[in-house]
Amino acid sequence: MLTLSRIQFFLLLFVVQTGTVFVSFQHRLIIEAKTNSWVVFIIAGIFHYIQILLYEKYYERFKPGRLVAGLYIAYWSLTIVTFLAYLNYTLSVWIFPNTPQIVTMVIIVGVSLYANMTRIETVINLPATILPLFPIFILFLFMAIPDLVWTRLFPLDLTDIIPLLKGLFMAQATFLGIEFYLFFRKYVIQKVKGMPLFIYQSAWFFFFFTILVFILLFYPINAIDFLPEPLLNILKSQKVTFVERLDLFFLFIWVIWSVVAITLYFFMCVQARRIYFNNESKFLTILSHFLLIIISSFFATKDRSNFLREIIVYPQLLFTIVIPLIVILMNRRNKK
Amino acid sequence: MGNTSNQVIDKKSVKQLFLNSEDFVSVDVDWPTGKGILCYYSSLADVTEVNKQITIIRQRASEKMSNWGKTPVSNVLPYSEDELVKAVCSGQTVIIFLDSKVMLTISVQSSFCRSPEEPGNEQAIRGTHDGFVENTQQNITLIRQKLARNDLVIKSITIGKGTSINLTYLYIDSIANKEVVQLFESRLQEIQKENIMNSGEIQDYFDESVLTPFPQFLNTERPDRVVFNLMEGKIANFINNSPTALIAPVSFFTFYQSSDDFNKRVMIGSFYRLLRIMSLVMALYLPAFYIAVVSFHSEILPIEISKKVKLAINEIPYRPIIEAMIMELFIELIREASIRLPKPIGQTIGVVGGLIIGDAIVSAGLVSNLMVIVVALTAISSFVVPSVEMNMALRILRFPFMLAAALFGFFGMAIGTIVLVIHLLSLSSLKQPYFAPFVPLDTSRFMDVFFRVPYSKFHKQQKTFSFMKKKKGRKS
Repeated sequence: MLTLSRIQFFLLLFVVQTGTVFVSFQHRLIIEAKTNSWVVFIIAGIFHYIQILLYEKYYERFKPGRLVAGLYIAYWSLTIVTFLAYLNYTLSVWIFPNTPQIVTMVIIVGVSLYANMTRIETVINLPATILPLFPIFILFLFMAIPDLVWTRLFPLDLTDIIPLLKGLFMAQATFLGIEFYLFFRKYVIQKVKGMPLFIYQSAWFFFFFTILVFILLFYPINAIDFLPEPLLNILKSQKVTFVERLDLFFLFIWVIWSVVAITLYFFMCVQARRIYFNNESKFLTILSHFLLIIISSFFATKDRSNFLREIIVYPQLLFTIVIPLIVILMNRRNKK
Repeated sequence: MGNTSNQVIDKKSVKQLFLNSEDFVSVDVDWPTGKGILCYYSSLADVTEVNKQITIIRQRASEKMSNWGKTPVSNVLPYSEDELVKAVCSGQTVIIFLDSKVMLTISVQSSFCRSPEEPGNEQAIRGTHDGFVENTQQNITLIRQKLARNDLVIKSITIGKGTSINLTYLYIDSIANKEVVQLFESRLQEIQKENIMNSGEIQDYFDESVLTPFPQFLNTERPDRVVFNLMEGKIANFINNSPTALIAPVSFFTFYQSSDDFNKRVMIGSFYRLLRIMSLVMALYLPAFYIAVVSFHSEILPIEISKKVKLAINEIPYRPIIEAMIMELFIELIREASIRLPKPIGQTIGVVGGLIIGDAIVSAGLVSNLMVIVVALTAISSFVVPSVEMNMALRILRFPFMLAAALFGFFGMAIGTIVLVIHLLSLSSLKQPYFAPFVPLDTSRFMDVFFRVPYSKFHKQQKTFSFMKKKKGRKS
């Protein structure tokens, strides 16, 4: 049986949760909540902590059947399509304007296919290998400190509740992948509750919060409307002696990070099929990768990828809150 | 051939068995227990020493001692043609007793062995300067001298039907993983019937992924390196007449450890270990990075450097990938030629190839001088790794990286890196994880990979791909 250490588990969760959204979530959150965004994100952080605490308390009762497992596979497939479409669209805008998107799509999915055809432990440990990228990214980001205008965090307007709620809804994008907790927690053989969980929550929070605050401090609030990837633009504006375009290096850090996250989503689909449907067919693994290339290619335009990113939050709420709640309650009743 | 106990044995039939070979000697001898035929290969047996041993054994037989034939160098076996051929071919002297149909074997082979000098491709600045030779017994002596413990197990097995190769393997019983030893032994059994000529073939039989460029056995001629690895629970093996020890299971980072590290001060040892890891990055990525920058991402360069790069490549008729390929192949040719040629000429080839032709290529405008710098730096970086096999693997791998960079720039390099990492994560050496401590992730061992720890702490080879409940194997 698969066993995970605490570090492996949290790294896996961290990469899945941050993998693709850390470049994109700020734009829409700031558009909705303006300067209040950082306050909204603190509230989102509290919700996130409550959610993983509840997951920790009830994960043993989360025993999905075939129907629920099938629904999760569909949800993860939708997430993969959303990420792939966005990733390819961004790559075509920033790096490969003349390369057909299907080419980059095939390369990225090919990596996932290769990983998913090897042993389980390979994919499980993949997040550990991108660990060195994290300090590099933070270092790049901190180079922007001299350009930050600290008064841009204010004024706060907390009287109008609607933008705050909308912002909170947008901040849900950072919760993507949190359901992995329920699926992997049972394999962890070390203590998770208490301090380890708090450390993970802090890492998750400070990672997203730092990026958000840097963007708020770097740009006047109205400029965000015109910058779909404000984080990339911060890095583009950095001047260092040894390199002219720091954002390009960052972009590839993000690509690696995202490819690993997508591989993990594919991995979950394959494993759910293996565990809940006793199906280990390699042909189906290849076919599912192939199909998702086709579907993602269709959505790899600005409008369509934006559409997917807008709607993904709805099924996310369903699959991270509603369905786990139903499954846990039903298992509780059955137990009685 | 078979057991011919019912056939008549005489000098003629024995000579015929060895096809009347010129160096085969068979003479009748009188023995206190009856008549016998003495036979040996004059080219393999140490005749003077054999005479001495025969005198001693004859004396024991005259005194009617029980087990007179059993001494530290001799044994008595039932006669069979197979056993006779095997013994004589391995350099033993045999006396066949015609009446009793038994044979006395005397193991006193003549050995021509060089002194245990330091291997040329694994030099160390401090520490022992001895190396293995083409004699397994002497090699084991070198190890035993460094490992004075009774749990050092040495076993031997004959493999190869046609060639009768003797394989000797060693491990420390209290440290080595029993399952790995069993797996090793079962694999040995599987290859017993094959013809094995050298240690490279053994590797092929043990490798779990034959097509990967990464070595799954550490190849060394240094006794101290074998000892370090035995202390980490690994298995070393030799085939006779080879000075190379193959060590398994190993991890990727085993190839980056040098015995010099432990002879240096902590900071200095750590610095050089880090330097070696950095050389890995340079050896793999430098040409690919240059190609990606020149072909795709020239905007990342500061303007001053960008101007110089443009000036350097402006007159070059080829694309950077072609330029790089020409230079890389040129370096590989020089390397290969200098290995094949005698040492003094080999050095000349290095000078002629590196300086004269290199300069001429730049002057002719076929390759930019920047590319020469990149390729030279890459070559130097790849030679830093203290393992020839890993060095070759890295040199081969930079070609796909160069191609990926030429096609997709940094994106190609990023994807290539992930594929490489996935490949390394999925590799195993005798079913043990090859990319430990990354798989399974064990942060407590990270220090050991990148730094030379303050005092020697040997870690057992990582056992499984999954994280274990209890961390075992920490030996101080």
